[in-house]
Amino acid sequence: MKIFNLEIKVDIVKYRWYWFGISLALTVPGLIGIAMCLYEFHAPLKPGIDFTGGSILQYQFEKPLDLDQVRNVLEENGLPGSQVQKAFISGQEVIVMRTKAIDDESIKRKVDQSLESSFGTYKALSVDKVTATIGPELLQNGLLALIITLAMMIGYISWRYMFDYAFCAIVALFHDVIVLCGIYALMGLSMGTEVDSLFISAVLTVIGFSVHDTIVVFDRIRENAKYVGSKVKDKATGEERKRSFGDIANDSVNQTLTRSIYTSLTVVFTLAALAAFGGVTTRDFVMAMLIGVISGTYSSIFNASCLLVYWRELKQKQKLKAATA
Amino acid sequence: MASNWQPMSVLSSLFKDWKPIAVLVVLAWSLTTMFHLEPTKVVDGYMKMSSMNSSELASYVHDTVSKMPRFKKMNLYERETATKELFDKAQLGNNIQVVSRFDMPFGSKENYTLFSNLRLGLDLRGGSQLLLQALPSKNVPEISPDVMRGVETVINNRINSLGVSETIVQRAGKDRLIVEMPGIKDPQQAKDRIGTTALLEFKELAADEQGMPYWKDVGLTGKDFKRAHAEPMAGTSVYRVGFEFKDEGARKFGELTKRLVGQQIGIFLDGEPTDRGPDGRPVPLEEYRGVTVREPILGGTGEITGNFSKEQALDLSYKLNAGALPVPIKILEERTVGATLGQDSIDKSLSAGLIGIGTVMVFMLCVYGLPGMVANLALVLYTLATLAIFSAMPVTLTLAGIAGFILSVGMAVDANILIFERTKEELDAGKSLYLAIETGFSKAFSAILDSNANSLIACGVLMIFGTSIVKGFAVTLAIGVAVSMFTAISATRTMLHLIPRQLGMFGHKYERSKAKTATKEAV
Repeated sequence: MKIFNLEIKVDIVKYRWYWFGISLALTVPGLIGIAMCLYEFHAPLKPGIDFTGGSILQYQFEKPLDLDQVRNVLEENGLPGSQVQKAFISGQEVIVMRTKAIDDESIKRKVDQSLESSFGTYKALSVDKVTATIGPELLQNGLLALIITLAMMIGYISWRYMFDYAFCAIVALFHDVIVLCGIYALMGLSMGTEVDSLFISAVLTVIGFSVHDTIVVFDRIRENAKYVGSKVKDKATGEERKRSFGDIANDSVNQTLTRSIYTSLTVVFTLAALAAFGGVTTRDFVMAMLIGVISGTYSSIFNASCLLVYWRELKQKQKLKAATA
Repeated sequence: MASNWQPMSVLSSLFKDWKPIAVLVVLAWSLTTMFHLEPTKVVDGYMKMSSMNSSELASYVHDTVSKMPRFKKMNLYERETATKELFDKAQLGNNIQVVSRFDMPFGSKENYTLFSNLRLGLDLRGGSQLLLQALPSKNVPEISPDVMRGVETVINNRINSLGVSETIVQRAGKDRLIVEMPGIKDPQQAKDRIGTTALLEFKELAADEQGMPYWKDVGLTGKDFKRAHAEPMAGTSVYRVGFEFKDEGARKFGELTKRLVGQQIGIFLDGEPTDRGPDGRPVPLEEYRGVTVREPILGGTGEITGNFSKEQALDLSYKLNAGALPVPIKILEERTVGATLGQDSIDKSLSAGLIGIGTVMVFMLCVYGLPGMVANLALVLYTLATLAIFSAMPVTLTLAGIAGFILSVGMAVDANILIFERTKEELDAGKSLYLAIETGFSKAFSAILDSNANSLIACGVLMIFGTSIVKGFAVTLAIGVAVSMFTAISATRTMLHLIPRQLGMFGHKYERSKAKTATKEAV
């Protein structure tokens, strides 16, 4: 790619083990985080109320409150262990209360009444209440959606390209999903970040974007594949040699590099604007997509095509072996 | 492999001549669908209608229709149509975003208002969404579709009595209902009214084997009511609920009161006495004495006096009129967003969207110059067309939906970048401008098609399996991706060809000699 007069060329095939190494460095801590989450929360990520059941109440009181007092009121009303935090929405202080599932409406009414009598009138900005019964269902639906999406994508790419393209695209995609989930697992462990049903749609979008990005590179490889075996002059030695699949992949990645980076930049611009200026409600969701998009760009440039080359080379060797045997 | 299938050759022949026309048609359609200009008086009328509750609205519509000048000449069918139109206008009033108001423009005698009509979701307008589950009971051990129909009707009746004009009650799965109530002021009241079974029972005092008194069922319930209403009791601030039985109920009630003269009848709502104590809660069962029957009541009317406040009496009468739920229900999920938070979200998403799209436009302009300008114009068309489709379908726009839309802007630009990069390569290879653009398009198309097809697969699955939030996101993203294919192929291409060649493009100067060979090649 060319930036002003600077010509940038990446040799993906030559340094493939470096690229794989970076990916490992990104995914291994994430996988450890996921494993620790499994141990701690019995789920790969810290599940939010959408999956466990529970309530999040966001109330805006007229005067600033002491969080411990709010906690006490909740405890007196049968909601011990509730998390109470302050947040700011449009510059105004909001009390965010996370409690266990309130299945009985009369408890909610009692809580509201005690809050009002202790701290004065308030505005309920938002109330999210999920009973424990619905969580596993949501998770099941989410996983089912994930599996169906993957199967359909493998089908589509195998139809339009070949199975090995589909396989490599899916591996690159798993890379992105693991990076994203890994970061959120670590955030869940260290900062208590929870994932909700919006996170599942963020993951699915990242899947869409990752494959979208990979396909653009693969499309170029497919187009250039006819040049495999054509003669090319080696720049260093000046000797003529046949172009390998690796050379083609290298050229293709470099031809699409500008596009990959520009596209990611535009998507990153829009997402960053949403993260910085958008509502609080979607911030985690947007951050998840941001991570996914950046990882998706990396994996489609450095992983997917490397893997394809590696796959083809292995097959070539097998063929050679079979021929000589 | 099917890779030798050339979608471009098929499509390009289709697109060859009517592309510029299609762009203009889409632009015109988008503008007219997106924006409406009507006299301010009329627009205010819509908004007034949408703020009424259902009974007010019904009587207002009835009055308006009967005041129509041709009312007497209209047949039944025409009257119905006129009524339906007015109800539609009230619906429209729920989703009006005023863009700007004009005071008597162009010398006309009226003020006009320009508005858009996007349907905003609960998280943006404020409101409550409930997920209800019907639970099997002793009498109804299985939730059959018939039972669910009953539940749906009762819930619908109850919500309508709340005066929420645009509620949606939707069946979800075998035993669930989704209730959406936009703009509701008191969600707790709504939940209380929806959540209770509202089974009114009459009982008589009887003694069990040990001689202990208990309340015995007499087989007369609120189902036997024709209607109930709340009324103040003379001289006090206390209310009572008067009721009227259906014929069968009146007969049964007559027989019962004849038999029990001088004795007590208990009235129970969902198993609790209807009498209220000083705290407004039902009195405990052990303290409840019932009402003494002074004389047989044969007229089929009666009253429930239970120390009710006005609200309690009204609430009970609404519930009785709406009917009892055949089975108890449970609120599985509640999502309530206050109007303040909603407005905050709208403002923030709007500014985030504008900043995001603005940054992308500046980027495109910096990187590509004149063609970047073209891409930006295509992006404006894209934004208009997508919003117009949202408004026409209509798509309910939620916060997640807006995120999906803004993401699709990024993907729409991607198509342009792919095409531009390809065109640049062709120019570098020495092709003329015209040919470079055409080849750029045809070569980029397979990548655009395949990558968008995959995004659409993800969207499709989300639409089928996702929760309502996720669905909102998937729908907007899918529409966005589909529209971006159109704008990239038609609008960008048409406009690129409109740029005077002398200005050059992508850093390549116009060369007369090449243009000549290009025309030869093109022929």
